Order: sequence, then C-alpha cells, then structure tokens
Amino acid sequence: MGRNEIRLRRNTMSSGRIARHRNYSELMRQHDRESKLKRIFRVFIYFLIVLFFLIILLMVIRWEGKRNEKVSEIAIEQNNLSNTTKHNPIVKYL
Amino acid sequence: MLSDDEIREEYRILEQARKDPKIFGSLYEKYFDPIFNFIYRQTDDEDLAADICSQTFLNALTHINRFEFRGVPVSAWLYRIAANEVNKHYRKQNATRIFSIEETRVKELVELGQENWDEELVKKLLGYLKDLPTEMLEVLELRFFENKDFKEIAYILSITESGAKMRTYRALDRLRKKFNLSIKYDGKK
Repeated sequence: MGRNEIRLRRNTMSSGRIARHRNYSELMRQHDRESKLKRIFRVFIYFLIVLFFLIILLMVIRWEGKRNEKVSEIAIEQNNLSNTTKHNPIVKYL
Repeated sequence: MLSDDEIREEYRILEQARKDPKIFGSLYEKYFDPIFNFIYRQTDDEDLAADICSQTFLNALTHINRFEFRGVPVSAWLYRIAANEVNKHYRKQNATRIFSIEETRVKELVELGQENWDEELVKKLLGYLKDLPTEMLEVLELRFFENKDFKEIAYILSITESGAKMRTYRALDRLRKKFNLSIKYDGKK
C-alpha cells in the first residue's frame, strides 16, 4: 500500500453535473445564519466581560465598605478609651 | 492566465463584496467549477466534493476581510482555502489520501517515447505516483491539471516559489528516469 491512492477516471466531470451542486442563494443563507450567530456570540462575550467587571466592582465596593466600618469601629474604640483616661483621675496620674 | 488588470478587477469585486456579500456571486459563478474539480480530484466523491466546495466558498465569504492583495488571482485564494479544507477532511477522517485523475489528461501530459501507451504502462505510472509524497502530488496536480504557475502554487500551498519549482522538477526527473518518458514541460524533454 502506497502513501496515496491514485485512481484513474475515464471521464471528466461535466459542467452540467457540477451545476447541480451550485447554489449561491443557499450559500448566502448559510452566510447570513453564520453572521447572526457570530454577532450573538460577540454580544454574549461583551456581556460576560461587562458582568465580570461589575462583579469585581461590587466586590471592591463591599470590601471597601467593610474596611471603612472596621476603621470607624477602631476610631470609636480609641475615642472611648481616650475619654475614659481623660476623666479617670487614677489613670491620669499613672 | 489572467492579466494584471483582470487580477485587479477581481480584487475590486472582492473589496465591494466586503460591504455587500451579494457581489461575491460573480466570483462564485466564475470559480465554482474549477474549485469543484480541484476538490473532486482529491476526494473522488461527488457529494463530499460538493460539501467541501460549499464550505470553501462559505469560508471565503466569512473571512473576506482577511484577503490581502499579493498579485495572485482571487482563484488562488479560493484554491488555498479548498486545499486547507481537503487537508482538514483527511486529518479528521485519518484516511488514505485519494487522487483521482482523468485518463485523458494523463495522456495529454505524457508523450510517449518508444513505448506504446498500454495498460501495463498506466499501471506502472499509477504505482509510481502512489509512492510519491503527498506534497509532490499536490504540486503536480496544481501544475499540470489546474495549469497554475509557480507563484500561484506557492501561494496556494503556503510555500516559497523556489520550493514549488524544486518539488515539481524532482518529481518530473524521477518520472523521466523511471519511465523513459518525455513530459511536455517548459520545452524540456
């Protein structure tokens, strides 16, 4: 067995026979369908990208909110502590 | 062979087809038959050739923006897509590659030396072609059955022009030595 199979044909394919397979309107239909699918896919990808950034943005906002809460809690605690030391005469002279 | 003006005209049609795909129809009508025959020669299956041919034109239409003018006719671009589609088919199927050639074309190609054109000689020739590497067969097919020049062959097969020439000459030299045949080629015998 060789690398390729060579077949010898007696006749060439007639142009009338080839014409049976020629269908430009079908090709246009297929092209339109593919273009539509491509457009939908592209929109979907854009949507995913936007969604991804939105999720990141939300996470950052939440994380920042939590951090601010903690900072304010610490500030309140420190404030409370300094108030106690200011009015406590024992702590004052220590 | 197309003149430079004809090639530029085809390119202009393609440029217009980028905006309006319906204009591509004239190129479709012009090149459907040769592309179909090219694929049929490499598959020997009418329905399969029709499928690959329609996929070829669909790919061309989808990627019409990627075509760059390189001084070759639009047909070379279509042949290139078709060749890639055929390769893809064989890769997927993992099947032996088929080359179906017309007897009349072979007879036209080969002039007899001292031997007569008989069944034995045909068998020998087919046996020889069978053992040629696929790349050489592709070049021979494009050169002698599709009448493409080396610039187009190089573009279609994504090789250099000198590479295309070398593959052809090597195959022909082997043929000359093995069969004592004269090939109608470049005035060389």
